[in-house]
Amino acid sequence: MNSFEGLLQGFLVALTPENLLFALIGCLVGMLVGVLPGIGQSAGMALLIPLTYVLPPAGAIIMLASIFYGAAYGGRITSILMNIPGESESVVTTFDGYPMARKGRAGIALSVTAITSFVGAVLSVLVVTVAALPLSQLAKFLGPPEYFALMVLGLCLVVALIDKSLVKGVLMLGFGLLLSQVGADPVQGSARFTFGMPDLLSGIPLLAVIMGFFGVSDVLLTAGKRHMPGTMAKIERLLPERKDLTDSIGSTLRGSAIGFLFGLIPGMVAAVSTFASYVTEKRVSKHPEKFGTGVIQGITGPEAANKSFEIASFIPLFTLGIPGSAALAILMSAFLIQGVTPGPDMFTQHPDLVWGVIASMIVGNVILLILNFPLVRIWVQILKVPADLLGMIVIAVSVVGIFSVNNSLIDVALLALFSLIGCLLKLLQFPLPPLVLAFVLGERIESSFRQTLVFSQGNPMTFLTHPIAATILAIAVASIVLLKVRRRRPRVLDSVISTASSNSSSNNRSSS
Amino acid sequence: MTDRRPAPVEATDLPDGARIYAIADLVGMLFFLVLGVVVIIAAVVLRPTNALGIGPGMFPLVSGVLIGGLGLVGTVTRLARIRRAGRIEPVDGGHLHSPVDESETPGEDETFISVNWLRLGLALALIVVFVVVTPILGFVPALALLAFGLTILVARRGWLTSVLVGIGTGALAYYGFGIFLNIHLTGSSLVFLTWLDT
Repeated sequence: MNSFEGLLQGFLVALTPENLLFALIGCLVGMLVGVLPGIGQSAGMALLIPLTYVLPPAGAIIMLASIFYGAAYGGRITSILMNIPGESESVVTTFDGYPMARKGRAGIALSVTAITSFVGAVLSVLVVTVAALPLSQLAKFLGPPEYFALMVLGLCLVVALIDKSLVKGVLMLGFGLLLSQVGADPVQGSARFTFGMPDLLSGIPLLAVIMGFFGVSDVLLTAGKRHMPGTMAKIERLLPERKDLTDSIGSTLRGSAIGFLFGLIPGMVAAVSTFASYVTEKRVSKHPEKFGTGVIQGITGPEAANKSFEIASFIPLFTLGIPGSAALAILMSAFLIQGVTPGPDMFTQHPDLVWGVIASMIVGNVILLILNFPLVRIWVQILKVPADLLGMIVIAVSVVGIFSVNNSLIDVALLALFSLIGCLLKLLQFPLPPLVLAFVLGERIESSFRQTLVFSQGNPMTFLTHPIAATILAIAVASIVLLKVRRRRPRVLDSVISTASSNSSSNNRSSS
Repeated sequence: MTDRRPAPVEATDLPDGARIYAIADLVGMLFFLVLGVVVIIAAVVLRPTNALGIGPGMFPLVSGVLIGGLGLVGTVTRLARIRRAGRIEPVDGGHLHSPVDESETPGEDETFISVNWLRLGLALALIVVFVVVTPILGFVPALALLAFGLTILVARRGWLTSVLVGIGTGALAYYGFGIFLNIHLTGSSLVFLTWLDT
C-alpha cells in the first residue's frame, strides 16, 4: 500500500459516523482547553485518557489527536480579543492580533487566522502523508542501540530547547526516570521502590502522573480565581476582504513551511516556530515598522506555523515512536493503552489505525474551521463561564476517570500526591515536559539499553561502535553543550517582543 | 540588544515573592539532593550489577546520581548566591513568566504569594477524605460529596449551586461511568446506600 492508498483507506476509517463524532468531541474539548487559560493542551488530553480505555483504538486516538491540534486553534481567540494568549505559542498572535481588534477588525483577524490555520494544517498533513511511510521504512533498520540513542536524543532535545534552567531540566529527567522505575524490574522482575505495596508492582499508573502534574495541579494553582483578567474586544465584521486574503497567501505558505520544519525536531516547542515565522514576516515585509500595529501578516504567518508545527510533530512519534512533547507523550500512552506501540511497525501492523488518524487530521481541521469561522462567537461566550467552578468539576471528573481505570483508591491518592508535587514544581519553575517524557520512555530506554548490552556481552562501548547510534548520541550531547549558544535565542526574541510591544502600546495609546 | 537578566539586589530590597521564591528554590534543591542520596543507597541494595551483567539497581543508580548530583550543584550555587555579601539573587533570572516558555499552563504564571494555599490545601484534603470515605459510603455518594465540598469550600459558591454540582457530578459518574460505560464503581458498606452500587 502506498501513501495515497493509505490515506484513502484512512478516510474510510475517519469518516465513519462514530469516528466523526470522536473527532468532533476532540475538537470541541481542544478548542475549550485552548480558549480557557486554566487548562492546558496536555491537561485536556490527560483528562480524557480514562475514556480511551473503553473506546475502540481508532476512536480513542482520533479524539485525543483532535484535542492536541484543536487546542492550537483555541489559543488565538483570547490572544486577539483580550491580549491574553491561551497557549505560549499564541503570544506572537497578540502582537498584531490585539491591535487589529482595537481597530475594530477582531472578526476579520479571527476569520483570517482560522483560514490560514486550516491551510497550514492541511498542507502539513499532505507532507506527513508523503513522508511518513518512507521514513518509517528507514526506521526499521534501527536496532536497540539506535533506539536507545534516539530516545536519549529526544530527552536531551526537550531539556535543551526549553527556556528553563539546564540543572532543573536534567533534574526533571532524572526524576521522571526514577518514577518510571517504580515496580517490577523489566528484565528480572525484582521489586523496586514499591515499599511493600502490591499495587505498585505494576508501576506508578501513567494517568496519576499525567493528570497530577498537568491536569489537577493546573486547576489547583488557579483555585479561587473566578474570571480571566482583561477586557474583551467586540467582534463586528467576520468576512475578510479580498485584500486581507491575498495579503495572507505568502505569509501562510512561509509560516506553514517554517512550522513543519520545526515540528520535525523532537523536543522543539511550537512557540519557537511562531516567533520564527513572525521574525521572517517582519524581515520580508516592505514595511517592517508597521509590525505590532495590526499587520495581517503578523498573525497569519505565525498561526499557519503553529498548526503546521502541531501536525508535523506527529512524524517522530509515528515513524520512530519518540514523542516530542508532553502532549505527544500522553498521546503515545493512549496508543500503549490500546496495545499499539508507536513506531515504524505501526504502518504495517496497524495501517487502519495510523492512516485513519492521519486522515482524521484533515477531517478534524475541517471541523475546526467550521467551529472557528461561523461559530466563533459561541467560543467568546464560553470565556464568561466562571473558571473556578469549571476547575472544581475538572478535579471531580479527574477523580472519577483515574479511579475507573483500575478501580483503585491508591491511584486516587497518588493523583493527590502528584498534584501537590506538580504545584510545587511549577511554582519553583521546574519544567515538567522532561519529567513526563522520561517517565513515558523510561522503561523502553532501560530495556533497549539492557538488550544492547546483552547482545554485546556487556560491552558498553557497543554504543560507540554502532555508527548511527554514536552519531545520534553525539548530537544529543551537542544539543546540551550548545545550550550556551542557545542563550542568544531569547535575546533575539526579546528584541522582537519589545519592538512589537512598543509598537503595540503606542498604537493602543493612539487609538484610545 | 540588552541582557535582561536582573542584577543582584539587597535581600531587604527584594519583594516578598522573590525572597520566598529564592528560599523555596534552595529547599527544593536540598530535597532533590537528599532524594538522590536515598535513591543511590536503595540502588546499591538492589545491586547495580550481577551475574547477568546489569542488575535491577543500575538504572536507579543512574537516576540517583543524576538527581543527587544536580541537587548538590543546585544547592551549592543557590547557597553561594545567598551568601554573596548577604544578597539574594532571584534564581534563573527570577522572571516568573517567559514569552517563549514551553509550558502551556497558566499555572506557570503563579507565584508562591499569588497561590491561594488554603484553597489548594482544602482541595487536596478533600481528595484524601474521598479516598478514606469511599469504601464506607460507596463511590458515587463519596464523589458527590467531593464535588459538593470542592464547590462550597474551594470555589466558595452558595449551598444551592454546590448541592447541584454535587448531585450533577454524582449522576454523571453513576450514569456515565457506571451505567453507560459499564465500569464497576466501589459499592457502599452502608445498606441504605447500596442502591447506588453499579
